[in-house]
Amino acid sequence: MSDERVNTAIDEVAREMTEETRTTNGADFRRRVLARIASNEAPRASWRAAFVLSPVALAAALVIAVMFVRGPGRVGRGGAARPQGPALQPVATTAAKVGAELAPPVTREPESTRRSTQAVRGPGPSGPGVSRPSPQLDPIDVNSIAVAPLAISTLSPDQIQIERLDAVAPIDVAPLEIITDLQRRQE
Amino acid sequence: MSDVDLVARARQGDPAAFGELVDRHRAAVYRAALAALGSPADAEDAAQDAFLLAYRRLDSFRGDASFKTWLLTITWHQAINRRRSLASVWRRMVTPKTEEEAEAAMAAIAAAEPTPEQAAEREQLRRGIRRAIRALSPKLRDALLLAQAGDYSYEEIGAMVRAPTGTIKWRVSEARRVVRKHLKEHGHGDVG
Repeated sequence: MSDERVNTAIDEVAREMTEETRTTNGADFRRRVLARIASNEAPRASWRAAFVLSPVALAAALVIAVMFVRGPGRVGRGGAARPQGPALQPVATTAAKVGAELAPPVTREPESTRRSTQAVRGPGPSGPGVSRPSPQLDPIDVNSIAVAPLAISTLSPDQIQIERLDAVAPIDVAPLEIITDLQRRQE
Repeated sequence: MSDVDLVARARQGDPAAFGELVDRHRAAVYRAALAALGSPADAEDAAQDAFLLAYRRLDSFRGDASFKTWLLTITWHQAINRRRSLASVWRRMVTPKTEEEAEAAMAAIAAAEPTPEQAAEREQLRRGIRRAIRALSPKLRDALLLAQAGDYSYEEIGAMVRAPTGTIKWRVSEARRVVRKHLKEHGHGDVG
């Protein structure tokens, strides 16, 4: 078969593929279009928007959630985010050190109280020269933990009966004879 | 009355004038959508959307190109957007009505052939051509289908798909060559 004939067949099939096969007539089509115009209906939104935008929105929400959880101080991992090195540490005076040594030991807060306080406080200052106003927080009402004294009955062990050992009779030990090397050789 | 006059009247709020434009260009719009989508149901939806969008954008029509070209450009964009959507792809995979309808039409054509052998051979060839056209890249397939739809000049197709006329002609020619090659590789030994 020649290229010419094949091309003709290709064109015929291509034409058939775009032929109007619907039974809808022109009047119906016109009526539908004008009805949609009259009802001020918007063209149908493409499904593509939903398929593309929903993962993007999900990713954005995840990023925001991660940033929120990690806190603003951790976003930048560079050196400027946090003070580094001993030079930036506050210098304690000798008097303060002595005072700290003499101060009574600080009692630890209960674990639950510490956690809640940390959550409210949030991260500390995130960079050099950053001054944050100290947050005015209402005192947290934590019921004092009053542990009832443990009732333990005093132990009263019975006396242990130990049999007395018999007195050991003194052992007579005869004085050892001293044998010299010369005597041993003679024997 | 010309398209430009009808557009002017439609802009002034005359729905009958726009209805006349719908009647005039419905077939061209529908076939362009069908060329892009391959499904009559999708094509009709896309054609309706195209007219709706055109009505809303009537103020932006300046008359640089013909109303038909302007309308077909809107139609093509609507159809391509729809083609890219996953829903449309899924619908075509699940309900390949077009193929059934086309095969029925081809069977009817084949039935008019003089001998059953010739009819069977011709039908087989047409099926092969249809498969080969579907396997073309979108650019080549669009150009071929639009060119053979009979409603558009190469210039109009170029305006729709935003490509020079020479490029459209090359794509049509290349599409035919690729289809012939496909046929030859798939058992139609007497081709080319």
